[in-house]
Amino acid sequence: MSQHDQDKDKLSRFGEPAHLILLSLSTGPKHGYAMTQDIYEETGIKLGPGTLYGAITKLAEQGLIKPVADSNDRRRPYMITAQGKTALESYVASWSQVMALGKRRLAGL
Amino acid sequence: MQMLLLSLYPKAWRDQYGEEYEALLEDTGMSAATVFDIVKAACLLRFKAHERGLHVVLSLSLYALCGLICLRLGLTDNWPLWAPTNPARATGLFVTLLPLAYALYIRFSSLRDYQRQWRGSGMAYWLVVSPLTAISTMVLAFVCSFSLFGTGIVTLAGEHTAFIVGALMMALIGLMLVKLLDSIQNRLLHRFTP
Repeated sequence: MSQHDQDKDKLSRFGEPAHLILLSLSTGPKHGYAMTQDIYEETGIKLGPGTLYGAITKLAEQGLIKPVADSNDRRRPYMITAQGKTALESYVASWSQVMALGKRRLAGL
Repeated sequence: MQMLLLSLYPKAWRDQYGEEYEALLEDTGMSAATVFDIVKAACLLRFKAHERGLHVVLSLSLYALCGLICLRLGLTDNWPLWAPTNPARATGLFVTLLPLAYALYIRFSSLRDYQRQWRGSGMAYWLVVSPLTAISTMVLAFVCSFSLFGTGIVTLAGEHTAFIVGALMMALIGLMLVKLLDSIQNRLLHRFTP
């Protein structure tokens, strides 16, 4: 299995909240509450604190995100890593194909 | 309320994320849906923290159950090990020993992960991880072999129920010992490393 496939596989096991977090962090570091607000404003999906931190824990364990090093704030911000960016790109690329296929098939109905 | 909800999470998780999570709970505010979400996530994390231990307990229970079924089917009078002299006996032996092999595999994979995690910590790795993981693995191997051969003698005497109880108790005692050694190992590691 190539690195590209491994990164994609790692991310797909975590489900939707992990993708939303990576998408949110792709515009810059954010702490937990800022992530939930950003995700809610951009997608209309409201992540509960338990769901959010469950996904953050897994993403951090896998090295796809990491805390911002020089922050001593209680509201610790996180940033996406290079590995996380690769995983997100793979995920978006594969779903773009699915979306394109879906649109073509639906247009034919 | 927030402290109570936070206490539902495993201690290791609270040590790492507790402060920032508390800040998030302050910002979010409480509703029934939020509380449900927090409790659900805490349960999942608690389950995940003991996932491998549960797998080992279930595997050993399955091993005992398979052996009992083989006894009842008349495939052997000498559980847990018997000669695979025909296809039915061979299949029975294979199915009985498979969960045991899985339990050992789980233990070895958690050791491998642990050693990988601490490999970069120099002296701490060589002084703490290597000897203690070796001891804890020997404990589990001893428990498994005792469970296999020691209780086999009881089975020969015809006390099947005693065997089942004995095997399960040995498995549980072994797991508790392994957990205790893991906990000592963790404490020592955190003392050795900054």
